Amino acid sequence: MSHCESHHEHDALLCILPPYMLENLAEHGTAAEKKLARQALADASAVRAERSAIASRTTRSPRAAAAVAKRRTIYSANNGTQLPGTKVRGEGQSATGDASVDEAYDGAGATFDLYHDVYSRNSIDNQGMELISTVHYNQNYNNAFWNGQQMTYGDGDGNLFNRFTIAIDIIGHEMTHGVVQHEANLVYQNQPGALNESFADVFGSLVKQRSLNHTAAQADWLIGAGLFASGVNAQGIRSMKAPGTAYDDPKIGKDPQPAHMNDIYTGSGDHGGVHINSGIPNRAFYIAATQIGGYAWEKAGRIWYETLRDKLAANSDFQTAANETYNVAGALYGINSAEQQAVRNGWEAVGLSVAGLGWQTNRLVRYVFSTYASKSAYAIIEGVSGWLKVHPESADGVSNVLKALEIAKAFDRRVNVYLQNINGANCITRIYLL
Amino acid sequence: MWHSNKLVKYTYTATVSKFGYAIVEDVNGWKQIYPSTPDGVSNLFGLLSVAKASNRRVNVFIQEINSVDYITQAYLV
Repeated sequence: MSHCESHHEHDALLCILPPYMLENLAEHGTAAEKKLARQALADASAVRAERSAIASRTTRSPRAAAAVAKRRTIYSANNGTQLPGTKVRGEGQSATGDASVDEAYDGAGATFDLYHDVYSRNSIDNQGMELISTVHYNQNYNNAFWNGQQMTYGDGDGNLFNRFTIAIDIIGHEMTHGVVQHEANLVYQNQPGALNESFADVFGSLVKQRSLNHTAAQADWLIGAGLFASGVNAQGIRSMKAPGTAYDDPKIGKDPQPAHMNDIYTGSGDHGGVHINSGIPNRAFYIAATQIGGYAWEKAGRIWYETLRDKLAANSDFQTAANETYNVAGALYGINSAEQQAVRNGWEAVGLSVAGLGWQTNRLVRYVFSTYASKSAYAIIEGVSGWLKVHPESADGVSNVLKALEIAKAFDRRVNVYLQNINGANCITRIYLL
Repeated sequence: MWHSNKLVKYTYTATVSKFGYAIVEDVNGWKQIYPSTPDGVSNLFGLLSVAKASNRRVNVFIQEINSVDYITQAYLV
């Protein structure tokens, strides 16, 4: 069982490299490469247990203001495994000349700045949390991870992998796992876990794009470009633009990411494909961002950030993310705005029909449910995630809407339904029988 | 006035009380079911919706009340 894999979603370390890549290397690498891959895959129960304890007690970030101050501290594990290790650079101290130390410092700063300057977020927890990073973790360690409390980076083996601080998007990725933990706290399993990975990729990429002053059209949309040493047939770890094309190499295998729901991975490996299926929401974001145009962190990034902050919960799936990003885009930039349409286009391109609030037109009624209780009626509508409650406004009004839903269901007729979020629940309030 | 042997084009309702509308063939525009009683509106709305969904015809009585035309009676034929 890998360092980055366990049976339990809360035990997982959130690693930049997926376990299947290291497993390929452990099978197909040279003797030295196999040894290092197995080392990286080795069980680290103590670290996982710590991660589990931290994740389980994390709650959504408070909105109360805290003093804004960037507080970066870089430690070196001195090629051991004790965290955090020896302090080597604190906030405001000059560069050390150690590339890993200085890249971790600068990358943490760029990530803090994106969240603060663009989204008014005060560090990982929105309360000014100290940004702790450890470099030189273990010997020739081929990975980087967020353990629930800090970022940790290996040096890489120098043969297949360079040092893991070399790509600023990896730093942004790891720190964003911390932001996710303090907001939706998406469970690290199946679609919620893939969303967790996707949000980390999205904001990791945005940290890189902002540091390079790249527009969405100029960005390479690769995660981990520069991480692989020469001779490895890889552009990066993942491609948000073209999932499944980032690498194809005899030693590390072929990028398995799907770009469409038709190809979604349904196995149990990699925590239900958290690093695999993240390609689907990644591509949705790429399409939305490029269609909106300009700097991706400004509009597309804000839509994704506010969705993560306010709309998603631990078990949210892709459909929920699609619906909520669409709703947030409408709230921020206007119903049927170009931005909202771009979000819709992004999700539809990966096979998810977006169902936002407001009118949902020309839909079939999938199921209708009622009980003996007064004003108790529910329905599932084509293209809309989950059961919708008929708004319990009046007894006869609920009966009338239920009647329309029943008839539509029984006669295979289509309806227009109007959805409103009322007291936190999406409700049907009006209906046309077509 | 009775409008006989007509198709129901659309029905519309909401969760507010005594609220139902329909468009009936050869009758101009949306016509509200007269909001007299909750169960009366529900009964007429149900009848009109079944007619719509099953392509059955209806006889509807359109009555002017306080200068507004309402649906007040219907037969499912």
